[in-house]
Amino acid sequence: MEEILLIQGLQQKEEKSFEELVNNYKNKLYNTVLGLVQNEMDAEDITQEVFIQAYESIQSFKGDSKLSTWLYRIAISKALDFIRKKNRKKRSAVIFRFLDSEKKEAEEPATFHHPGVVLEQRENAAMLFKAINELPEKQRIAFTLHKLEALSYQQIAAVLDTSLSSVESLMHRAKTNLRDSLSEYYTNMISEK
Amino acid sequence: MKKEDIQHKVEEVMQSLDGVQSAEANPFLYSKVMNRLQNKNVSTRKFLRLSWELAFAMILFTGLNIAAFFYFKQDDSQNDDNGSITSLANEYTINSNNYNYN
Repeated sequence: MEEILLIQGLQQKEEKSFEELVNNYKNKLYNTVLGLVQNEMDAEDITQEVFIQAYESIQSFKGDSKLSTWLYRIAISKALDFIRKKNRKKRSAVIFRFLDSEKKEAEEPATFHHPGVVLEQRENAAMLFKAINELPEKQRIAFTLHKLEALSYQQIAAVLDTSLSSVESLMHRAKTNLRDSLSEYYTNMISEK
Repeated sequence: MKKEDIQHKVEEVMQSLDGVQSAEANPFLYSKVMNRLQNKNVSTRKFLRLSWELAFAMILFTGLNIAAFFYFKQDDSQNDDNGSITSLANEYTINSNNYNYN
């Protein structure tokens, strides 16, 4: 079905169009959300919420961007909201731990294993995902969309509603920050031995 | 691990996502989404019904209060009328309690 027809069907609340939308975009959106939240259960839950929001707010879709761009924006916004909430909870837990001086905070291990990573790269990829988690939001989104979804810089610029040069700059800074963070981690690891 | 080794390791990690396969969503995602949408509609309908019931209860409660207010106000004014009759009777000393029979 052509995109215009699909959108018209969605705006008329046709179940067949909605099923086609879910089946066409579920893997792309799930993969993006998974890269950002780094937990399979949470990613599935958020992906469901993305489609529910798309179903409810399709009337507001004016066709200024591609349908995929609009869906990626909803997915990213939902994933970031989830991460912010999770971080707020973490911060309050840190405060309680600080008050309870007997428990010391240990550095979180790299535990997320993306299902699409080949077995021999599992540990390295887990390390990279841990470092990605520490990036500022926009750098994290740009890097994740480029690496996991193989989106071009032009497509990322459309999703982030920014210029191509801004995406190039975001990607450059993301890579620099990741290299710095990883170097620091391995240097500390040697000095601890 | 030397400095060169660290740099080598960092580059190895940086390239670990090259050629990564896309993760696949649950094959029953559509059914799950539809289920959630239906549950959401049911809970919205329940919420709307509860809101109407609460609004009706509030209107009934307010109406009863207003009715009670006017009812007791009327009763008070009748009591006031009795009071003025008593004072008139006192003034003309026709009250049975303090009537002088002499």
